Amino acid sequence: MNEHTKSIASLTDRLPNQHKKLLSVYITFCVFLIAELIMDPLILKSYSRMWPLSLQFAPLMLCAMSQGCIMLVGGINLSLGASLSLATTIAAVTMFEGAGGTVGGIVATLVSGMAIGLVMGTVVTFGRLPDIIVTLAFSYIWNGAALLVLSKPGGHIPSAYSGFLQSQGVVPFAIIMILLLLVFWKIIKNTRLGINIYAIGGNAKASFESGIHVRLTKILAYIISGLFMSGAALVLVGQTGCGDPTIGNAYGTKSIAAAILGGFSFSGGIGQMKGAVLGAFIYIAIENVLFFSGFSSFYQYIIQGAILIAAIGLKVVSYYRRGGEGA
Amino acid sequence: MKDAFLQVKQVSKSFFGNKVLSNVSAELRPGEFLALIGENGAGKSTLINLITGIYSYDEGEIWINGKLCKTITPAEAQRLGIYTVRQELSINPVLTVAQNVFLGHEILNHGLVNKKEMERITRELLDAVHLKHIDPRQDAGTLTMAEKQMLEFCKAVYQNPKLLVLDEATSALDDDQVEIIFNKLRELQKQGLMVIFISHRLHELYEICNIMTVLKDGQQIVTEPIQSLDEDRLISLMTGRTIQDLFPAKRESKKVQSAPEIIKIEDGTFGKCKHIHLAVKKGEILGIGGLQGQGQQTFMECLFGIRKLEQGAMFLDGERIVLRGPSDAMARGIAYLPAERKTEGLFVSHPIAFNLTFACISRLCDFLGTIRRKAEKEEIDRAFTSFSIKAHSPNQIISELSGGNQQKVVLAKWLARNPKLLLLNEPTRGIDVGTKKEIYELMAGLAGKGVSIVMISSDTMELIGMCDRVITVYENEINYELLGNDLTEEALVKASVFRRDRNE
Amino acid sequence: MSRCKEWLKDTTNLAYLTMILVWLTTVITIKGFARLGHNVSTLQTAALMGFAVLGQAVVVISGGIDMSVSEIITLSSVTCAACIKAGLPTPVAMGIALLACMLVGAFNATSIVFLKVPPIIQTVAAGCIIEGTLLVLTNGTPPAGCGKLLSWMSKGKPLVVTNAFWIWMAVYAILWWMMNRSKFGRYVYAIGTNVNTAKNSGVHVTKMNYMIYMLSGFCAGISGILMLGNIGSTYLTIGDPYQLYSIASVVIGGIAITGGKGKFSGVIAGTILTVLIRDILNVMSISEAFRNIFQGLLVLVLLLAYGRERRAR
Repeated sequence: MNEHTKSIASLTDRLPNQHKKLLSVYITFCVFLIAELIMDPLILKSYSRMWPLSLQFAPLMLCAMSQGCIMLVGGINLSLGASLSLATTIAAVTMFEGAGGTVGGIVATLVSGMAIGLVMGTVVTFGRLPDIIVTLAFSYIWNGAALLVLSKPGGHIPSAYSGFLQSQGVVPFAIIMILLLLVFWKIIKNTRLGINIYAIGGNAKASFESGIHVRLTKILAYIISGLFMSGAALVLVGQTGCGDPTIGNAYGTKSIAAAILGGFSFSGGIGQMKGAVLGAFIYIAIENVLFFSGFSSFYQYIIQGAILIAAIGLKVVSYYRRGGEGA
Repeated sequence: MKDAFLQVKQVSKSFFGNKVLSNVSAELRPGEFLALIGENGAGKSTLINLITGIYSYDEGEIWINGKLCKTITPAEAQRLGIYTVRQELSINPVLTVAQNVFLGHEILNHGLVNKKEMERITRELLDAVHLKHIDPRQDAGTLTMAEKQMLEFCKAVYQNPKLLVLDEATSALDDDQVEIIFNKLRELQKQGLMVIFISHRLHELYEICNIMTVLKDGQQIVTEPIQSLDEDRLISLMTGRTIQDLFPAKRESKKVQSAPEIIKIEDGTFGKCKHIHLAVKKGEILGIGGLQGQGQQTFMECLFGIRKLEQGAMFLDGERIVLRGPSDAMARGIAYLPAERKTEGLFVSHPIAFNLTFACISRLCDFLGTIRRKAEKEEIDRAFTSFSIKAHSPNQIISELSGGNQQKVVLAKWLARNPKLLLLNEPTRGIDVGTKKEIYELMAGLAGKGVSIVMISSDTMELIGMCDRVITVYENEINYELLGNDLTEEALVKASVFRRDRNE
Repeated sequence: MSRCKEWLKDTTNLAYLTMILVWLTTVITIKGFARLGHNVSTLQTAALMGFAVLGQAVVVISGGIDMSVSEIITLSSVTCAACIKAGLPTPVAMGIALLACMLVGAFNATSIVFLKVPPIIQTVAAGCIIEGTLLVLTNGTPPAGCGKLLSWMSKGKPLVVTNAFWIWMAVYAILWWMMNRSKFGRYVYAIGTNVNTAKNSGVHVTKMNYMIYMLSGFCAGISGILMLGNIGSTYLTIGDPYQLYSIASVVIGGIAITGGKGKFSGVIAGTILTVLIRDILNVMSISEAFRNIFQGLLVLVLLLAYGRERRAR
């Protein structure tokens, strides 16, 4: 080891543990942040660019947080796209003009998001079925339910709400929302529930033997995931001004890719919400870079697939490189 | 004299009509450290599981802290102050060191976890066992095996136990670390801590314990102050059985040992085992003995190609070979019966027939790859008669059979390939005496026909009764080799529990 | 009586019985369902997606899942159409299309085996990549090309029902033989039941995974080609509905989603039953919304029902 790597090693040693784990995510984030700034130098000149940008990034960030929450307990949510659509339609039919109507709609959306999580979590834990197949079946149910609420894009979003979301205040509302949810997660993480969520993802059997209520914890993780998802829906409806029964389709696979980019792992118990937010940023930045360099929007699907495989594959390959044992 | 905290009175326990513990009694007063000793399967773990509430007992009484505890759960045992540190670790790799110590008992402050306080206490606990380099905030997954074991110990000590059960809890530690733990225990002993200690390292028991109970075949042989039990007397107490007529007659050792070698590992390194020399003669039954978990299984995995031979050379019939995997080993005439029948040896949800012909299916196929049903039926019929498998029909699901019959199916599956080297890992674990005898006769018959057998067993009598030669393994090294008239129960037990002096 | 109960416990028998009962009910109660023409078209629909179901069933029995069948169907029909349009003879075009599909299968197996990507993620990702590649290459509108031969192969009716149905039966017969009468089938069930035991008993799990996923690609490829022949042209979402349909058919046919259990012969009943249910929902002019909900619930309820049985063992 030469002097140079030694000094880097000692530098990383001094970082707090949770940041150390996200180091590669931070570096990737910085690279793409710079790329983003080169492509769109207006951001530095005009602060008002923040608002459209935040609206572009926020929904996927929230979806990645939602997906991350399920991945922490060792599952994957394939119904995220469909339930996101459902939540936007619910928002569009429950919101009314006026402060009371708007707040009522917001609450209704958040509650239904949590209810979606509750239902899926219950079936997964009590049916003792693999999450992937249960959430796949639910993706059709939520899809149908969304069409039931609104058969085509429509509904009514109070203009005051949309305006509020897009209005040029001090900080974009979407960013405030993400920060609020990150704080919310930080609080959860510092309760028994938070530790238990990580614990059952890491070693469900030993957690059970330590007296942790594994089923309840898993269901609660699904509920929190539903809450994040409905947060994404609230940003989306503010952006589009209506509920859309198919809008979520684009976010299903992307949320998994973003979560993996942000450091989450399929084996459960590994990953942080900050990482999910950064992962989503990296994901969209990759897309932006490609479109900026002249690729057609059709390439987004290829990117999705390639990112998914590469993000998991690279981890496995680097694991072998380090001489990890295992079949 | 102080009142006894724990009183075990004439306790018995049976599993499926098999008495594993009969009329065992023990008493423990504050400050007493009890060593439990006995061979594998003598009932040590069962006794501990009764005290910690994992099993319930059939007869007798257990009194804890002056209360009769007929049925207790592990949680109740913990509430009464009984904590266990086991060899299998319960450390959660994704949580931090501090979170692991407090898992399920977090210090709360208005509903929130008091991280600072937890980390501070963990720091103190770690400092007390000289783990100054470990940060309470780092992931437990990054710790070494020994550090995890120490952490388990810290976790138990933090609960302020009255009785601490250490079940092979020092097996991953080196001498210095053991000393640190012992010092901590001695310190707590003054405050009245009691310990029940199981360890395969006898010198550790002698160092820290003050009374010792010897178990043999579920019977309590003796409980005495440890000073009065020297090592020679101990060995004679642990052993001293006669070989039942369970085993077939033995062959002449010289004749067997003069046969050519069929497989040989020279200076082999695999997994944790380093510089191993091992050779098996044609028609020989070689036993691998020693205490549980000393690395015996790694030997088998290497011989079957599951684990790569990292260094050294392997020879089969004098020819140097490299095993690329189980199928390669099979093609070369090696067969392996794993210890975990249900998870590694059988397809439990499938019929007997599926399992029986699985390993030899290629032989039963025609040129198109179709399984010739007549040939398969013949093969199955032959197995049913020659192994006398008791089942309604070959289409019965295998999980419905008794353990003994299941084991016969696995054996039949491998013998259908006519292997020249048969690797058996605990071939008679959990099966009845009748089937055991059948399997022994089968083994002797195979060896007579020139098939070499390597057998791992935790049953001492089985090794003595069946094997031509036994090697014992101690901490991933071949410890002793016993053959001919040297192969006695006493010698084998000694060879298992004591490390050979390197200068000998 | 107890024998009858025993017979009904078998999920495959149950699937066939349900299929017959549902068919009889529709014939009696719904006008037009008794006509031969309608039944032929039902079987044609079943056959067209049935190939993909055959491949999916093998993957599911081996303990995996193939979410890329829908895109593989699209890939094969578009490739085939493009080749025919380019003037290649139909058999060559079909060969190229099937080869492409098997390459996708090999790609899936490579990632699953060597990069340890979970099957579900790998196949979803492969689906995305195919979808994107097709969009880029065709610019959104696939070439139209379909010869007479291909149309005849798909919907020609020299023997009562369409040729596609007979081809389906032929492929099914071969796969049935592979799954029930050959070493291959034993190994597939073994991997799905217990990978450890399979490895310890000499199964080349890597090789098997390649064969299984390439087979699945091949089967889905036939579906795509014959769908092209059926309608004479193709579009980029032609395969989309078959992601859930293929999985649902496998589950309805009584094959355990957790792998290693269930008879391969159930796929035929599962496929036809899926098509029947879809037809009924169509006839009842149920909205797309309720149709989706119903299908999702059906799969869920069946999974729960079979799951319970698994626990009882």
